[in-house]
Amino acid sequence: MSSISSRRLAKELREIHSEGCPVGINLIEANDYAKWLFTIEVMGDSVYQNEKYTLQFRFDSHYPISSPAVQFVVTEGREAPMHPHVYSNGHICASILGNEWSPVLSVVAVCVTIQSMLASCKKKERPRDNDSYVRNAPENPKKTQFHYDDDTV
Amino acid sequence: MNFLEADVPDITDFPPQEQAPGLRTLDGSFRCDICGELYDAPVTIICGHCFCSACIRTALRTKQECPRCRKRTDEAHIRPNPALENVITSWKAARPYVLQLIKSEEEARASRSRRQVEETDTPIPKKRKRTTDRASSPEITDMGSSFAGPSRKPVSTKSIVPKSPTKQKKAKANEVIDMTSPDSDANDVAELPTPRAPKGLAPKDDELVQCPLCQKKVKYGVLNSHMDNGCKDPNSVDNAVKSWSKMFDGAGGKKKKAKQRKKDSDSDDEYPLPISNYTTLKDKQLKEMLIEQEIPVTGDRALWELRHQRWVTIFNANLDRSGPNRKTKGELRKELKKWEEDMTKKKKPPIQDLKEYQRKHKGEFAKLVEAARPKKVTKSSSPADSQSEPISAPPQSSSQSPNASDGKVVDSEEEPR
Repeated sequence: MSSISSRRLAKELREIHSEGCPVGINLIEANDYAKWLFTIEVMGDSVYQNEKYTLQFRFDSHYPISSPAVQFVVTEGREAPMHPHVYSNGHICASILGNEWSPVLSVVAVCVTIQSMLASCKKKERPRDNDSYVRNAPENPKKTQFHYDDDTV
Repeated sequence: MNFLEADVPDITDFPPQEQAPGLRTLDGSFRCDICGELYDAPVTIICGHCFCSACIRTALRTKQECPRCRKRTDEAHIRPNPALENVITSWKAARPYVLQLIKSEEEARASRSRRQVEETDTPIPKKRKRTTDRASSPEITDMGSSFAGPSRKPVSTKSIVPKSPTKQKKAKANEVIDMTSPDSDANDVAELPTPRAPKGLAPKDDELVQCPLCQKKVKYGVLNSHMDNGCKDPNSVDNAVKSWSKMFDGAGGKKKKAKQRKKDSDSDDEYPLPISNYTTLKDKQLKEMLIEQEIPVTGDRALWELRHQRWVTIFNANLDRSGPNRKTKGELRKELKKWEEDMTKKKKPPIQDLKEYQRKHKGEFAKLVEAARPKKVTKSSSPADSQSEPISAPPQSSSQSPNASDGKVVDSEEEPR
């Protein structure tokens, strides 16, 4: 195990283990270099008070040059947060996961971004095209070409 | 799970800020933000940010902007940073030593023995072997056998030192007697080369003493100037001739080596390779490019492109290393091979798992395929996403294509829905 991606992930994991995650974010599973799971909750005043969501990361062998596939877990009773950029199948429309991904970003940085995306939300609602998107969505959110039109939330 | 056991040195090797101020951040600032390793062939781009040459070249291929500050840039802006490269070289040598010091200090603290004074003057680390050799020579001077023995360049002794060491000793002893002033007893000098020891008195100016550096007999009065001159004593012509011939011998040997090294390094490969747009290339052209670079032509076209692209990256990155750190083409080829193995290794396990997975979840797959079929019809009418691949296919089809983009393989591996 010495490829660039696994070494980089190993370093990130070591840092998480030694320094911990930011408040509200917890690592719950990282058994390999393919899939990690985190729980994420919004601290302080927000429309998601006392709600906990599970965030899933999947990595390919080009990480960190290519972005991780990030989505909320919606199986086993878990749900995606009601948010204008989060589809009910867990897919997230965030530029940082798509064309604004940068290899200097890390798993924790993505978690923090998503956490703040939730924190700044005023009204719980699904994206307008939720139904049509979910019906035809690819399994991997990275295969969707999201159109980022709203940067207020 | 051999997952965390992997030996990946990183900043957490050092204690946190409160315990060891600055060390973590120091180690962190020597690391590339992309790969997390200590900079390998560090380069600076237009905004001043630093990365490993290979890392930034790969990143710029995807997106022409600084990964840190998003300022637009491209490969033409890459400049090597030899100063930082030197820093990294030194840090690589110092890092294990510092860690070891920290460890031993922690142990010392744990055992509560605060008497770790020797810690501060712990022997100089291995890399400074040369100087330790020299530093230890004063002790050797006290031993009679060393008299004829270690010359400054033990390698080239063949031509200078006579075959029998005892003869040499005698000859030298005689020499000493000849040159010794009448009042100092010759025997003392020859047998016990520490005439000054007994009374603790400084030797007289014209008394012969052994130079602690070159171990030659030198008059005490001129010892300091002798050492200042780098042990070249203008008075003893004989010695001078010897040392000069020694130097020439040594230098000659070194010259030869240098020449060989020069031959090994590929001097005509000083120019970076151009970046190709593979889509406009025909198979044959691409193959010729691979052959020209003497890299394998196995696999399919997709693999050729990846391989050639990677080759150009590591080749150009190698040019950003300064002279002595540069690798040979042979080493680069090995690196390329390893990279390719890593790429395929990553893909293999999921495929094996997948087969088992497929066997296990055959029914589930069938159900999914069934469920997906009607979707295919409505697919074309969906404006929301520009996904072009039918979702029903992946589990079966991608398992057969190891060279498919990795996204696919990862996809089919797990079905979270």
